[in-house]
Amino acid sequence: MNTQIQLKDLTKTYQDGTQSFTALHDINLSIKAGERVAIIGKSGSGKSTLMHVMSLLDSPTAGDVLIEGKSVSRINEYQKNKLRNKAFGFIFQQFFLNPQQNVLHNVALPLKIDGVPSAERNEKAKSLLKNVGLEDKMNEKAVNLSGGQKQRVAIARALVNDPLVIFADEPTGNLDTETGKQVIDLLLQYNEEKNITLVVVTHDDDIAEICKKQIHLSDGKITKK
Amino acid sequence: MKITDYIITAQQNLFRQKLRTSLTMIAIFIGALTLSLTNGIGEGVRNFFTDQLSSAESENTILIVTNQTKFSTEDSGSPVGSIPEYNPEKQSLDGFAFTILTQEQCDFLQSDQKINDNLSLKDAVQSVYCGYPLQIEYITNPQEDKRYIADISTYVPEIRVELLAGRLITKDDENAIVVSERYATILGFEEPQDAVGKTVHVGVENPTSVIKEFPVTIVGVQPNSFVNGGQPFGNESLVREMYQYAVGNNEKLLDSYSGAIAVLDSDLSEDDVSEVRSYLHAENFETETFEEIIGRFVLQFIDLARWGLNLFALVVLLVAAFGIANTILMSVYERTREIGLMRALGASKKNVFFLMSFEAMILGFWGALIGLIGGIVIGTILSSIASNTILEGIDGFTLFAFPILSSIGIVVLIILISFIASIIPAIKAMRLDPIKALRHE
Ligand SMILES: Nc1ncnc2c1ncn2[C@@H]1O[C@H](COP(=O)(O)OP(=O)(O)OP(=O)(O)O)[C@@H](O)[C@H]1O
Ligand SMILES: [Mg+2]
Repeated sequence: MNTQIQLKDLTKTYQDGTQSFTALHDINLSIKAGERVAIIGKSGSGKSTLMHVMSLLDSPTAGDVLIEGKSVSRINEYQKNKLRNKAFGFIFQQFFLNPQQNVLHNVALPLKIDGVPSAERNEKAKSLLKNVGLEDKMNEKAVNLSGGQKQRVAIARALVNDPLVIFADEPTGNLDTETGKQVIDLLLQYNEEKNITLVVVTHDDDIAEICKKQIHLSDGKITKK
Repeated sequence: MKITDYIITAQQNLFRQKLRTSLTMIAIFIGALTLSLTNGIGEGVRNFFTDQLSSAESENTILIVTNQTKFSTEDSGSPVGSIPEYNPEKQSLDGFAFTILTQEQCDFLQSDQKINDNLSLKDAVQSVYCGYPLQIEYITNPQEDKRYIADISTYVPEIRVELLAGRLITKDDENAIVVSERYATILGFEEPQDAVGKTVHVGVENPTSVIKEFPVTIVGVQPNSFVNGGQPFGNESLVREMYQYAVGNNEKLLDSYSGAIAVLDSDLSEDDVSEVRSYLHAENFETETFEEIIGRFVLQFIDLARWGLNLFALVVLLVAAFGIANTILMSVYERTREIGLMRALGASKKNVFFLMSFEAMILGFWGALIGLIGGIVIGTILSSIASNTILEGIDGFTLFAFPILSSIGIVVLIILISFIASIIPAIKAMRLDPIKALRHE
């Protein structure tokens, strides 16, 4: 299998005026297509930062990120936007739905950004909502959903563009165990059926266990792979 | 993103903040209302005069014919405003039309040239008056010491001027002039009839700078009018005599004219008139009708007043623009997370910029549309009130007019102003760091 995402001697330092803080130290890691990767670590260890750099939301201070062998330094703004829009799916720690918009529009957002005509994108969003079992909530405002429902909407949104990779930042962090399990099962199902790479940040050992590759972070360093 | 998505999204976002949106919209509304009213009254007055001039009935079409050198309005002076006193150091009137017609050209106008198969110049042109480029120094009442600049031209009987007192110039007159009311006043006659029969002096300078005063008799007083820029008329022989003195013995100058007045036959159809005009244009003449000359004057005035009023409305819109900028800025702050999310999901900086600026433009559009409709309603009501009161008896005068093109223009202008107002907040939104925006609580 070919390497999809590779990090080489990656360091990320946050500079706040005179203060600087190194959130990631010398990270080396590679992820193959279709792999399941768990990023595990204590709060503040740099999990979200790592995910942001990997998914081109943030840029490294030193070292390199390679997407299918291409260095991030050779990927321009436009291509980065396109990659995030078409090749990546995102699930964030705090859902990040637009609360006042209805569920359908929330799911269709990546396609709207891509310029897909509204009839077509609504159709696609509907079919994904069906998959996550929220077809009946289609016209509900996102604010009115329960936590588990919100996260399932977020999953539907992450999948609406048929991504190659899903980045999920503590997808179950705000959910009870039972609901969390449902969400994880859904993600696993997509990973297996469509061979979508799954990069998931988690505290939860049960979730970590189902991933073949586990990356343990501590103070911005990989302690165990 | 698709343009329709920008519009729909912006519309939804605006609708979500109803109170804030409506408050900003009120400011735009007031601006748009003011602009549509000021522009509307300008259009109304302009239309009225345009209609009046084009429908002005005259038995004959009178063409002012010159060489093909552009007319300039300065040449004929202005019928309003004060008349400057004579200053020997300065040129008398602002301009002097150096659009000289030669004797040959003057004769040509009265010749038998064929215009087309069934029309010749002789048929079309009833009479031709070639005017001398006479430039007098001043006009003065010998009873008083003040001298005023003036411009005397040959009286053309076909140009019917109204009279306040006295009579018009006749064929047998010698040394007769007709002055406008304001000349009568400054020459020291309180009432128009006081001037009739009085003798005033006209100073003319010869090539050796000797000024000779010609005594002339005021036979009539006309109202201040646009015709001839409100300047005095003299009988033909008087004007010729003065001109001869002014040019001395220069034969060549004696045979040159400032222009001609061609009185066309009253039976000519409109098509024939334009045939004649295009024929003359082809022969290197420039023609203008009286209506066109007067119209240019009036319309210039109206346009000036109209833009003055519109400027006032634009100031109101400028204030509204700051309201728009403020609203969009608040919107950016409020939606920091949403913008961050969109960036994370692959929206470009350009997408974010336009999302915010479309919000401003939609806001402007609705404000402008409602303001315009309000303006049309108020204007129409005021027009009908005016027609029944102050404008009673003036037919065909709609005080406010709202032609479609300038209405669209107002809306487009306000959308443009809104866009400009949104540039700074939209750039701010565009520069938001998606990571920071996502961490934003
Ligand atoms: N913009 C920033 N400026 C300075 N320091 C930052 C910035 N963003 C993150 N950090 C720091 O980097 C470290 C890693 O943050 P990160 O969000 O990656 O942690 P995490 O492992 O995801 O934690 P959690 O499990 O609580 O989400 C933290 O100590 C955080 O304070
Ligand atoms: Mg985190």
